[in-house]
Amino acid sequence: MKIDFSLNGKKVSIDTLPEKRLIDVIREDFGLMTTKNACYSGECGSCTVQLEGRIVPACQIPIFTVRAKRIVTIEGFMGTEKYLDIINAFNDIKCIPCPFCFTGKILAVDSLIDNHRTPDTSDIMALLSDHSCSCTSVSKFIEGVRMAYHNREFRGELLK
Amino acid sequence: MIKNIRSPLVYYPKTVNEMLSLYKSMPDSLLYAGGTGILASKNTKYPELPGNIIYLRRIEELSAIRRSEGYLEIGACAKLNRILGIGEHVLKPALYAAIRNIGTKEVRNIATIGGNICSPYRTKTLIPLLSLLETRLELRKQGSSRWINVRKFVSPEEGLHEGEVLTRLRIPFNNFNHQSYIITGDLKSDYRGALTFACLASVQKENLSAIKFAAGIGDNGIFRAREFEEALSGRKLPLYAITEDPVFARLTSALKNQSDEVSSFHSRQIEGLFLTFMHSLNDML
Amino acid sequence: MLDTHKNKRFICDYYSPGMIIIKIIRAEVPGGIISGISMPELPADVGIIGFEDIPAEKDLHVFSRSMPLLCDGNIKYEGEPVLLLYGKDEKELDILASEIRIDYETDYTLASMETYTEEQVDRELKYSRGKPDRNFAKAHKIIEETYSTSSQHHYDLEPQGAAAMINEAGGVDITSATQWPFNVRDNVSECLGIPKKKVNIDVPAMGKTHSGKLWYAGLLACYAAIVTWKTNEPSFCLIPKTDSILYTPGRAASIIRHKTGIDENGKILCRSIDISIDSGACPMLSEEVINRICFSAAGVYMTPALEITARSIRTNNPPSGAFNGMGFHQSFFAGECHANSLAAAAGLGPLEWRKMNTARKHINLPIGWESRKPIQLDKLLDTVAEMSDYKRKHAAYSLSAKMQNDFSGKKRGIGISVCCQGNGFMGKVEENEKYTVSARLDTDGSLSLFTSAVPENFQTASLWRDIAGGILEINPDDVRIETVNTSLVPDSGPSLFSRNITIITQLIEKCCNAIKKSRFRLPLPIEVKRSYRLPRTNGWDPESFSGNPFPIVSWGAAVVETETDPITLETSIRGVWLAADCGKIMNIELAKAEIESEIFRSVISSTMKPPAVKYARLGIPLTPVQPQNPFAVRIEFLSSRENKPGGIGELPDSLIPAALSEALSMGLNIKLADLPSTSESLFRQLEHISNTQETELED
Repeated sequence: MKIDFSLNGKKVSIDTLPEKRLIDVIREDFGLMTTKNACYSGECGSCTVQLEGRIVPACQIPIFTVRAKRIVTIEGFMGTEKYLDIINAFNDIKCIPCPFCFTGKILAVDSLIDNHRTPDTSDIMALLSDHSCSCTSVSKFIEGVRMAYHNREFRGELLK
Repeated sequence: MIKNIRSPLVYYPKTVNEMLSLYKSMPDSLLYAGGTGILASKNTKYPELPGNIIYLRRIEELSAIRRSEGYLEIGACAKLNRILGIGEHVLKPALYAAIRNIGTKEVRNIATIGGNICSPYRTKTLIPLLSLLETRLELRKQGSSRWINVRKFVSPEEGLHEGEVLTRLRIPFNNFNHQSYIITGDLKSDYRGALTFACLASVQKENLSAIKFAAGIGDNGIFRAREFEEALSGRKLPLYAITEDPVFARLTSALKNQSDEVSSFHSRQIEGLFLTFMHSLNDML
Repeated sequence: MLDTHKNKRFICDYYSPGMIIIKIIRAEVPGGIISGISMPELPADVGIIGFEDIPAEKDLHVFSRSMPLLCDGNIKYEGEPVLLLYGKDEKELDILASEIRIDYETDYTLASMETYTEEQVDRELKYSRGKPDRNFAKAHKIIEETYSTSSQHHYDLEPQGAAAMINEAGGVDITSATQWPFNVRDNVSECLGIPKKKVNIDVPAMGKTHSGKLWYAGLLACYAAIVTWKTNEPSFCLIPKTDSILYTPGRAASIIRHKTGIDENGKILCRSIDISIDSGACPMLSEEVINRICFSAAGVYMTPALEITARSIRTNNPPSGAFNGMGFHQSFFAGECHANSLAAAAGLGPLEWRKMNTARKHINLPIGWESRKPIQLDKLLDTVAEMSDYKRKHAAYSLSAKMQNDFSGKKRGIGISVCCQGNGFMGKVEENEKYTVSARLDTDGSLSLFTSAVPENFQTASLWRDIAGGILEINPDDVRIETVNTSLVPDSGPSLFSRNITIITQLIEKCCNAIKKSRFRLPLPIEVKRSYRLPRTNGWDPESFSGNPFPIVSWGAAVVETETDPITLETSIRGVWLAADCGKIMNIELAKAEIESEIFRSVISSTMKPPAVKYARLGIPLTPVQPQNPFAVRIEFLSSRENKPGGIGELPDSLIPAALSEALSMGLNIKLADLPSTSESLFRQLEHISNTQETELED
């Protein structure tokens, strides 16, 4: 089945089985390996990508459903200032989540701090609960998210 | 290569009529919207799907959300996070909490309300509350449609008939000024042990004009105690020492009558959660 | 820039289309004999491998233990690998896999751990010191209790797997997510019947493992190697998440019976401890686990007379493994819960009783060591009590627990515990092994570290870079930890987190100090190598239970404060305080972060049911959640009298369960004896008490 969609800002086309999951398409067919796949059940958060600007678990999306849609993976997000807001914050406080879970968490943090209000602790805990990896300190992670929010706020992103 | 490996054919109808016509001609096809309930249960790279798939998300009507005077009308393919976007003030606290407790944020961005209602594990999420809210569901098939109460929908005899598709929900706006929605346990790691409890009450001055509650129990059960609810409705508040009130025996007996389905642990939780809710009503006065 | 997620290849990133994919066909019954296998017609591009098709050695070896690589006809546990189905089309393989039918002749199963028979005892250890019988006879009070812990599974995100390809030397190159690359190399070379030098093991990036990839990775590496050897093509074997949770070696379940005699003042006179652990179908590391569980069973209390019997029992459960602590978790849960009962029997508070009974010297520990260094357990207990305001809260919560009725507000409780953490293996299992690290300072001033030790997390790697950079006064960014490949790096032994911190960190320090001494005398590059061998004198002798069991020991005490909803019996944690004496702290921030993440994980596993195969089959995900409510965590390190770094990551798993259980018991006015403490188990306990009271009233 031929499917056209936008991947990280570029129009792409793929001829594959319609039930192939988006996570496998972006990793195997487009070689974008930074997004990970762990559970195939949409629960662990490691395969998070943006679909039409909203975060979704790529393992729960068969490729036939993304026809004419916009997909952004962590590779596409890395070039943005929004990404720097987050990565600089975690860098500053020396919070080092494992690379396996961090890519999903970065996109989830972006979605959280885009909500135009300071994320409260319960929001951040819910995010951690949705991304079940116990690799890092919870308090450091909370601090990292708050700092990422302030970075974005400082950049004036929220005022636009 | 082994013979007969066939990938599904996908149909993208744009209107409900087109979809119903396709479904009539291919009754074995899979109606696919968010798909999270379908894919999460298949642990393989290529999930095994039926030969024909009717993809519903291109049908705008099925994702529409409308507010009328008496009810909120939600298309079966409306995504859960989009429904949350309506706001807690419209949805009211219990429904807002019930939707927010489904899956992860990422999952709620693709999962649909119709998918939740049709899922085999629905009784631990929305169904108990929707049944309290007297939600009605539109079931359509080519040439006909009917509206039924969500309570009937979950019964095997009166649920979906052949060729029928869940298309809309009507959730009446309610006057319950006290609402509670609680999940105990962990739906992810211990589905059977978890319990959902929804309770709604309408208090006018010091009068408990209506109260009802439901609990999602076991693998797929719903607990209700209607006689008990009716006996309580109209009572004057505060209601102290309710466990010593003769009316409380009706709850105990309802729990005993359903003891095949309601474990002793869940019985205690249901009693306790109900009493906590009653305490909160007393405290409000 | 902290872009740690960039360019990091995990095992799942090693698959590329065109590789041969391996599917494991597993047994669906816990025991029995395979009477027949019916196969669909296999296309030419698909193959199948069974036990008899393994080219050479058919068993996987770990130290002195072994298990069949594939089922030899006798099913030993549900989920045991029976066949390997391989081909290039995953969808085709899934269809074929679903059509394979295995018939079983009997449903013969072994008894469970609770009702085991003598034939199921894999190994039994007995230890006796002093005269327990005489001391029991003169004891003022004797307290007998039984505790149990359930199995625990690995929930680490990253899947387990391996990739293989034929190399230029005519052998195989394996990429294996393993904590023990040289063990994988040895097993692959044996199962293919080729020299070790023809096998290279390359280790990709790995997340936190909790020792789940210690030996199990060897099994998957052998599968990939066998298929590649047979087909001459690159192959890839990755197990699904659910299989990873259910079938990889988790923590052994245990039943521990304590009988303790105390004198009039509450001092321990004698103890008798009986321990059973479920080592599953194939006891691979149970020797080490049983040694450690025995060693730590009586805790850190002075015990004049002691007898211990510990046994590992074969059952039809999947093989249990090392997990964090390898036995310390089970021991300290039972021992510390029992300590609270002893305190109550003596009419003392848990803190007071502990301070009276904890050992001040190694020689006074239940199983005496030869080390002469003092122990600061008193100070640890005082520190953690002060940090948490333990004394006041304990008094207040004890009082309110007795006064509250059923639905009168949240039930608060507080618990305290104290433990030690042994770093590295206990000795005998690796007494003949020598482990090496080498370092090279290059002409451009950068340093390369060569070790087969796999950092368990990215903090450890960062720590090593900081230490090396500090000694040689170079930027830590200029310190490179070379990719772990058995043909390039020396054998640094199995990588346990605690072992990495102690032995490997010391070797890195030694290498860097040696380079530092000669860097301005010798031309660059300078390469040095340092090795570690377990000390021959004063080393631990498991036969006589004497010597020093670990190169370095860490000590810890913790307080957990809980609040339980009397209706739902759901528990929330109000705070955790932990004090540790773990030698030299290299980086206090990283050490605190490591302990904090382990505290959260330990809280989850102490309050969550283990997963059930039934639900996995229904497709209900098994991933646990993080606690939804954050809680205050405070960690302090005592200034240590030890100048070597000790492990820290296992302390929470030994401290939290007992302290949490005590806090819950206090809040609900019950005595909990099982782990995990789920809402339902609390309910069953309350129901049992209520039924007992009703029966007593009727009588």
